[in-house]
Amino acid sequence: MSRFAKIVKLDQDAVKSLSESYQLGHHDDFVYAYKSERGLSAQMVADLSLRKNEPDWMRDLRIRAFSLYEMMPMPNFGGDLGQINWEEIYYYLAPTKNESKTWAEVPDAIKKTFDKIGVPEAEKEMLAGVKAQYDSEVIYGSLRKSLSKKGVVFLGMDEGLKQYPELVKEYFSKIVPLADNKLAALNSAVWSGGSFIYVPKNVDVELPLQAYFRINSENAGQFERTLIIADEGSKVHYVEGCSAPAYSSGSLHAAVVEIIVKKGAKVQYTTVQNWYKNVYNLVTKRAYVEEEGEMRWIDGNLGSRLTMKYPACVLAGRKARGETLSIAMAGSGQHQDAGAKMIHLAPETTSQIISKSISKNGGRATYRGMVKINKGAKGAKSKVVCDALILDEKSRSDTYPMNMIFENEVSLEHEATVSKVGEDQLFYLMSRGLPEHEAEAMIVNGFLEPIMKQIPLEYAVEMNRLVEMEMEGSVG
Amino acid sequence: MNKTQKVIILDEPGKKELIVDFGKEGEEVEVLGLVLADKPGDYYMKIVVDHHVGKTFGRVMVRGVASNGARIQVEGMIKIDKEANGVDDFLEMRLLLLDSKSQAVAEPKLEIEANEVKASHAATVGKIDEEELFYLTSRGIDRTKSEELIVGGFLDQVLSRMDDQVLATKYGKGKIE
Repeated sequence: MSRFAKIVKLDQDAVKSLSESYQLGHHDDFVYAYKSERGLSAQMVADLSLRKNEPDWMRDLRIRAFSLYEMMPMPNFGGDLGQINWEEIYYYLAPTKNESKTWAEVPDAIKKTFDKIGVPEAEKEMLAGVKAQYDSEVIYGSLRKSLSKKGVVFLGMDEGLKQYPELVKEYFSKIVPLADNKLAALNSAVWSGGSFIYVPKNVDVELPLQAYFRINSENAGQFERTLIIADEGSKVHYVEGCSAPAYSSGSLHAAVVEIIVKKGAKVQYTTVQNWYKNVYNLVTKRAYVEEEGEMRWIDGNLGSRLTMKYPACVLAGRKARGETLSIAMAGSGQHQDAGAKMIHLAPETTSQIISKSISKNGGRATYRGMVKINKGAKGAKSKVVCDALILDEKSRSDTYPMNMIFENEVSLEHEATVSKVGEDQLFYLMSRGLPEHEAEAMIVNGFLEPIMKQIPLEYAVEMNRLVEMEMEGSVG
Repeated sequence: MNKTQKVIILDEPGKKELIVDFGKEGEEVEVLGLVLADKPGDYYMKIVVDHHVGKTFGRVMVRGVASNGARIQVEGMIKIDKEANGVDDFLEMRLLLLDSKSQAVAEPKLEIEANEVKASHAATVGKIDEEELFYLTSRGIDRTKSEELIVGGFLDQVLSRMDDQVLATKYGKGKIE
C-alpha cells in the first residue's frame, strides 16, 4: 500500500551546496578506467610514465621533477596552503583509454556533463577546435580541416608528445623549469593532459582554439600541462575555461602553461576560471616573447577556494610586448591571490597590466604583481593599473606590487585604487526604478567593462552571467 | 585641528622606517619622504600608515633621486583595519634615475579590510623627461644646469609642502629663483 508519501531525507551537505546556487555543481557517477593510488611516490611517477608509454627522457624528467618537488619548500606567500591534504590526492585518473575523435564516440555520462556546461554549444558557435578535458585525459577533440591543412597542430599534450616528440623535447620545461617552484615541480612529475599547440610560420588562426577543463572525481588532482608554440609571424588565440562540480573536501589544480612567442608572433590566452569553491588553484603560467612578439593574458578568476596565479611574460626580444588583463572575484570563503609578472630583458619592450578585483561576503582579493626592468632594457615602458571594489565590511582587498628597475632610460607607472560602489551611482540607478542588487550588479559589470570587451563574445556573456549570479544576494 | 606632518629623509646609504599609527578619529597626517641617493650603496625606506580607527585622513608623498650607482628601495604600506570606515588615504611615490648605474625598487602596498574607504596609491620610476630637458636647453640653459633645475623642481614637490622651513631650505638646492 502506498498510502503514505515516501519519506524524503535531505542530506545536510546537499542542502548547503544547493544554497550556494552553483549551477555546475553536479556529480556524474563514472567508472574510471584507471585510478592511481592516493598520494605520491617515485615509483608511482615511474609507473605513470610507463603506463603512458612515454620516451625515456620524459620519464627521467618526471623522476627528477619529483625529487625536486620533495626537496622544495612550499610557497611562503599568498594564501593558506596548510589545509591541503597531499596524501589524500589521486595524482592520476584516466576515464577512457583513448582519445575520442568524434562526438558520437564520447561516453554518455561524460556527454551529459559537457551538455550541462555547454561544450557542444561552443562548438556549434564555430570555434576552431574543441578539446575537453575530463579529469586527466583529453577525451574529446575535433579540429577543423582547414586548420589541419595549414599545418596547425592542436592535440592533447600526451598525444602531442607521441606525435611530435622532438618539438616537445625542445620546449618542454624550458620556459617553466622543473625547479621553478614546488607546484611546477609537482606538475612536471605527474602532469597529464592539457593542450599542445603548434602554429607554423605566418599562419593566422582566425578562430579561437578552445579547451574546457573539468575536475570530476573527488580529490582528483588536475595537473594539466599546456605548451603553445607560435612560430614567426603567426597568430593564435587560445581559450581555456574551468568549472568543477561540488565536493566536500578540497581538490587541487596545479597546472603549468608554457608559451613560446617567436619573432613577430601574436598569442592571446584567455582563461575563465570557475572552479567550485573548494578547489585549490595553484597555477604557473609563463610566456617567452621574442622580438616584436606580442603576448596577451586574459585571466578571469571567479571560482576556487584559493587561487594563486600570476601569468608572466618574459620579454626577451627587442620591441616585445606583454599584456595581462585580470579579473578576480572573491566571495564567501574565497581568496583570489592573482596578478601578473612582466620581465623586461630587451630594449623598447612594453608591458601593461590591468587588474580589477571585487571582494564581497568576506572574500579576500589580492593583487600580487611584479614588473622587472633589467639592465640594458633601454626605452622599456610599463604601466600597471589595479582597481579594487570592496562590497561589504566583511571583505578584504590587498595590493602587493613590486617594481624593480635596473635601467634608467625607462618609464614605469603604477596606480591602484580601492573603493566601494559609489552611493551616488547606486542612487541614480535606483531612482530609475532598478532594485538595489540589480543596480549594484550593473555597476560591477561596468567596473569590469574595460576587460570584458577584450574577451571573445561568448565568454564575455558567460562572465557577465557569472558575475550577476555571484552578485545575487550579496547586498546586505 | 588635528593635522600633523611627519618628515622622513634618507640621504646616506642605510635604512629608515616610519610608522604612522592612527588611533583617534579625525586625525590627519601628512607624510613627506625624501630619498637623496648620490652615493653608491643601498638606500632603504619603509613607510607604514596604519589606520586602526575610521575617519582618519592620510597623505604620503615620497620623492627619490638616485645617481652614481645608488640603489633605492622604497616600501610603502597603507593598512586599513576592519571597522575603520571613513578612511581616506593616498600614497604616492616617484623615483628618478639619473644615470644607468642606479637602480630603484618601488613597492606600494595596500591592505584594506573596511569597505567605506578611499585608498589608492601611485608609483612611477623613470629618468628625466626628455621633453622638459629639450625645452630648457632650447632656451639656452646648458644640459647640466637644466638637469639640476628639473631635479630641483621634482624635489620641490615635497619640499614646498614642508612646515619646517629650515629643513626645506637645507635640501632645496637648485631651486628656480
